Amino acid sequence: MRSAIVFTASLFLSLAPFATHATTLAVWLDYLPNPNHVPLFAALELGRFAARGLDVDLVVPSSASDPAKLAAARVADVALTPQINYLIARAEGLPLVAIGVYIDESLGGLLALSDSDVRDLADLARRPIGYSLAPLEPVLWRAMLSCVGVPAEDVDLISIGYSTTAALLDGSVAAIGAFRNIEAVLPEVEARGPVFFPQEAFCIPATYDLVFVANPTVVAERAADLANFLAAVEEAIAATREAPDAAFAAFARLYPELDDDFDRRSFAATLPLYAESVTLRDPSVWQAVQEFLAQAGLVARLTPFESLVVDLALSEP
Amino acid sequence: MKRVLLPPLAIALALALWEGAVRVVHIAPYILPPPSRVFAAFGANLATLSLHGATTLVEIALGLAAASLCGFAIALLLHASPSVERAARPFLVASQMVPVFAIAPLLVVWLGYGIWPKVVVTALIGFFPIAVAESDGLRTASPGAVDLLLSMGATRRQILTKLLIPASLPALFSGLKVAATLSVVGATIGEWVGARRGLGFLMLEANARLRVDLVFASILALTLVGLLLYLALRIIERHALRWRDRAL
Repeated sequence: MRSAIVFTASLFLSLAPFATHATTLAVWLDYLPNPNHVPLFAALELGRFAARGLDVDLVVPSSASDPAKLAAARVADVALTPQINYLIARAEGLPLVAIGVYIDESLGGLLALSDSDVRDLADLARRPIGYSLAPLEPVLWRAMLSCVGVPAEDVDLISIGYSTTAALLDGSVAAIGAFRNIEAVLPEVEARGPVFFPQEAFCIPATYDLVFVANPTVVAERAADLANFLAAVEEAIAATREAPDAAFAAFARLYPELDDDFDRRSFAATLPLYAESVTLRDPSVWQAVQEFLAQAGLVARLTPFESLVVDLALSEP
Repeated sequence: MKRVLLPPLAIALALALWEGAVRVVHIAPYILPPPSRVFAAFGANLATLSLHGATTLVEIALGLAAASLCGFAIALLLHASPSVERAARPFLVASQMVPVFAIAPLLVVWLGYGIWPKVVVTALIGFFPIAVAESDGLRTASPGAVDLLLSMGATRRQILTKLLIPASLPALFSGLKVAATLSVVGATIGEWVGARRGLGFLMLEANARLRVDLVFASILALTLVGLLLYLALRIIERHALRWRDRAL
């Protein structure tokens, strides 16, 4: 008996050097888990990252400004963050570089209700507008209202934390900064008739809503891992488009509290917006967004595209 | 001389340790800025900090005043009726267990985005230490003194106003000093859930812009506001309790 135990133990120990160890990658999300993240969580749940030798930890931040900061500090290997937030972080000197795009369209805008007397954007002059994400939202909403001729002194912006929809529904504010695939499809909002003013229709340049960023040192040291991660994300997005129900089901297994009608409709609204290719190759988008931010005083100077973005060659599994 | 020098020396030592630790460990300024950078941000943004600080100070002052009135009134009520006290104590204690962050958004929905939700949050946080301190303070009067006044024909109201309340003042001021520091937290939380201005609002904006030095400068401003209130209460306390110092 004792010799059998010793033999079995020796066998396992001898196999140890041949055991594959997945590489850990800490990926910080931009916000709480929501339907935007379905491809990522589906990739995790269905083993797409593991198939590429990656042990990906999708981390939920406590604040929307944390991911970029923590990626710069190398606490996060990769962070998901809005393109504008990334450019503001670079303007503040944070050591970051964009490595890929996740959602390559604008999602934001101003949301009002049709049963209020807001029909056109200009109707929001001197009316309270609630927002939760500074400095991004005040800049965007002021620019939108300026676009329709509302002077700055007639723009009343209030920081209202994260209770934006409640404030809109009870009439405390006339409009809120919102996402077309989230607040605008809430059942309570749909019942009152949403009036959504998309930001790109009112003098805001097209933006990438969510990009992946990392510290340049991490990119240099772990280029292969990051390329593998991005390749897995691109496959996951394609698979999500092909089989959205399966992808959402995988996401819902991890977050059963988000398995409801609203989240399914939010996911359906998001499905066409995921990036088809995660690589960042269009300098014109970065130029336009930086010019907008420079005009708004959020960046002091424009950074060359080559310095903002790293193109990691995506690998086959 | 040593008594006067010790506090500033202790503060200077703490700041030196903080500065040294940040530099030696090479902590990024957007994670933890050194005090030198915080003071520089404070100086460079003095006008902004003053503007927002004035808003927060008004919220704190009104909230603390409301907390004082409510706390004092509750203490008198509890003292007047032992039955009321037994019935009310669980509610009083429970009121402090509810996270203020859960209530604050509701107050904003009910009261709007003006000053009043911040005043109510501040008062909610501050009334309890005042009520408890004053309630305990009302019991500190010597029973012999109460008996003496009763034997001289004093009414309950006279005993309350001439003996019990004056005797409770040291405890009341203890409660007020605790409430003053808590009221800074209350006003900040109120601003985090809905504001156009204030140091809490400025902290959110600075944090979102990754200006952590300005976040800490705002915290420094809040600390100064709290210290100002505390010192003001100490001065009022010393004036109000002159009789105690003379008696001692």
